[in-house]
Amino acid sequence: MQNIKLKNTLKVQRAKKDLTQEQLADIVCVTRKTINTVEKGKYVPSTVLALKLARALDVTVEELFMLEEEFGTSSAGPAPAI
Amino acid sequence: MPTEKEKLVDSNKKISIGLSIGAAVWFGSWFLIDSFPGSDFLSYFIIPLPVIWIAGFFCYLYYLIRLLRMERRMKQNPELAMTLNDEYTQHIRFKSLGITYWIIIVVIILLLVLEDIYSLSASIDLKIIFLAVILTPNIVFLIMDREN
Repeated sequence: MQNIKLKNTLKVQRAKKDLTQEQLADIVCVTRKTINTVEKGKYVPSTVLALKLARALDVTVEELFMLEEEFGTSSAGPAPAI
Repeated sequence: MPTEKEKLVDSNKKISIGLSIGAAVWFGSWFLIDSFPGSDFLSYFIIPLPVIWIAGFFCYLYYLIRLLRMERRMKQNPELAMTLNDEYTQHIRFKSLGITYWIIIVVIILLLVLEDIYSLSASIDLKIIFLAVILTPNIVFLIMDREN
């Protein structure tokens, strides 16, 4: 079975800009908790918030968020090696 | 030093906890007084139940006034209000309502099972469901809002 996970580089990009979670939260008008949960991958932001974050950090949305494909085991056995 | 926004988030959390405790104490003691009048086990309470009932009511009232004052403050600053009610907050609020739905279903099933054993009155059933409906969304929201 193929699982697709959303990964993000929010923490790295934020560090590059030398911004704290609180400062970034102020820029995009959300709470610090929202930034924290997005950074930890616990919450998938809306398109609007993703665009706002990308704009605030001067990067594209693709640089900030990316899909990571994982191959899990299915009942038929392990995924075939490519 | 916490900013105004952080202070408001903390204040919001305290109000939610206060309202939940106030409601639990107020409605809980009212439920016991109303459902088991003259029962022996009511005399085991060190503080008389009517006193607990009044304390719960005033606790609820105090936090309700704080909530109304905060709401007025929010109306004066719509941007701050939007920030505090951001999409993550709305998301967990919506999720907590979904969880509440299943908890209420479980409570109803438990009451139906208990009905066969203890023959509970409809009044007691309604009060338990009422208490669960009032408290569960707030408690689930507070649990989900915790920062790990």
